[in-house]
Amino acid sequence: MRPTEFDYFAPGTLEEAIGLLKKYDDEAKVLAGGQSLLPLLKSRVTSIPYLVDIGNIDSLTYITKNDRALLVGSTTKVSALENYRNFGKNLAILKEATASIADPLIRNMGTVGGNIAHGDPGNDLPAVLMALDGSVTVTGPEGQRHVRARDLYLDSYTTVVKSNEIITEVQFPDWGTRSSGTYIKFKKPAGDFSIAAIAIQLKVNKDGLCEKFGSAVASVGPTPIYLKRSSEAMVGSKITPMAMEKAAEEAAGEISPTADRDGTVDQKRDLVRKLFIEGTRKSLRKL
Amino acid sequence: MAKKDVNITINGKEYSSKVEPRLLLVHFIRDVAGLTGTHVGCDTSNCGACTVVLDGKAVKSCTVLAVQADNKRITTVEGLARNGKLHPVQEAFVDKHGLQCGYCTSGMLMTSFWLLQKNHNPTEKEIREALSGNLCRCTGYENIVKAVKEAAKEISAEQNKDLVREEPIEA
Ligand SMILES: Cc1cc2nc3c(=O)[nH]c(=O)nc-3n(C[C@H](O)[C@H](O)[C@H](O)COP(=O)(O)OP(=O)(O)OC[C@H]3O[C@@H](n4cnc5c(N)ncnc54)[C@H](O)[C@@H]3O)c2cc1C
Ligand code: FES
Ligand code: FES
Repeated sequence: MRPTEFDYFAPGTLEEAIGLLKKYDDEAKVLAGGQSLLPLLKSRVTSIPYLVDIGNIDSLTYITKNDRALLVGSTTKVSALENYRNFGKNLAILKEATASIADPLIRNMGTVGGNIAHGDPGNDLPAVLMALDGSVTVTGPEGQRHVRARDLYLDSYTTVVKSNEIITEVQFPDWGTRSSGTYIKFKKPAGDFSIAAIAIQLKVNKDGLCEKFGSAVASVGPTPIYLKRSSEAMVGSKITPMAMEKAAEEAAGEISPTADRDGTVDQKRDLVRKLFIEGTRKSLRKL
Repeated sequence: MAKKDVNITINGKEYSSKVEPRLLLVHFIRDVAGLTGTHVGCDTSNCGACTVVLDGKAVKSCTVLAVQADNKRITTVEGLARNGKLHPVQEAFVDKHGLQCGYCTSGMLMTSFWLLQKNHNPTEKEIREALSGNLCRCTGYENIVKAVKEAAKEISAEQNKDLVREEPIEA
């Protein structure tokens, strides 16, 4: 099917793009890769009078590093991030997560910023960004602000980003020495989205005590969910099988899954419990 | 709603037209440029029958607006053969029976072409992973994978400069 009619703009600069969003406000939407938005427009689940394509703003496409994080411009294609060669073991989670998204053709169009901004609880990068305690830079008519990923998501397809704002950069923190993590996706039998997926990142000190721990899940609630209680429970002691079991039990209670054709609420809680343990073990092995 | 002028280079030839912004790239290719080798299968971003190479990357043209491709270069299945000679990947699909009904084939060929441009010697795993966004209801994929392997061998054997496209191939 074809979308309902809309007006289309392809500004070359960020300022122009924000000017257009400000002008048309609630009637306008950002178009990045279009790999989520176009299917919604085509099926007429939604219709939008004004589309502001940010795909021609070259200054938003980059991958760089500073001493604390990997900085990714929002219109960087998912496939470009997937092919980045210097993740090291600290950010190995990003290689696994990007390679698990959709298929190579969709990753060639879909953008990192779009994946974070869309707010579909099934998107994979939000959980990773939450586990790492990353953030985004949001630019709007009033200038820039930084939003922690853990504060970004309000409800399904609803974030704190306003209709006249653009996510311009995504910051994936590097946790430094003796840190690693993993992304495990339990896929649906058909298609690419998950029944549940978990992002785990951990850091231990010289004595093997857990110094930092971040975990978050996709597809088991209205938003991606940072597993606060279970993550905090892991910090400060040795990562023993018992500690994992206890925190995993906590994780199963922190999610809000719904029963559907993919499983009952209990099955999904059990799945997340298992993913938590598997993910923690796998991250430890990678240290 | 204002129409937009677009200029898209397909297989080396420029096509200019005034189009509705909602026009999908696949419809530009089929209806404006008249190149019907690119198919519409699912129309829901799943099957990959509509795959074309856009600025060096294989994408699903049912999920791209024609206006997004303005001033860009596209290769479709019609652009694979050179001087009446099929591209090795096309030859290999014939030799290895990589097609039955043929509906998925142009998409399969374009993704395989893109893969072989960036990876001259893919493993079976890499081939299957690259083709994971292209569905085939007939072949069971085995012969498609064999065809891509065969094409890879053929291309490295030929080392034919003629096969290297001018577009930069990324990702
Ligand atoms: C068949 C299929 C399978 C898929 N499977 C998966 C999967 O397994 N995992 C997964 O994570 N995703 C999956 N996706 C979604 C895909 O990864 C999308 O590319 C991604 O969700 C959105 O990125 P985009 O650049 O295409 O955004 P668009 O579709 O252009 O935009 C999506 C939304 O985000 C907003 N937006 C985009 N960029 C910005 C920005 N910089 N600032 C503010 N707002 C912005 C838009 O206004 C829009 O509302 C799948 C998609 C399809 C079609
Ligand atoms: S027609 Fe485009 S993916 Fe099926
Ligand atoms: S050959 Fe028939 S769908 Fe692939």
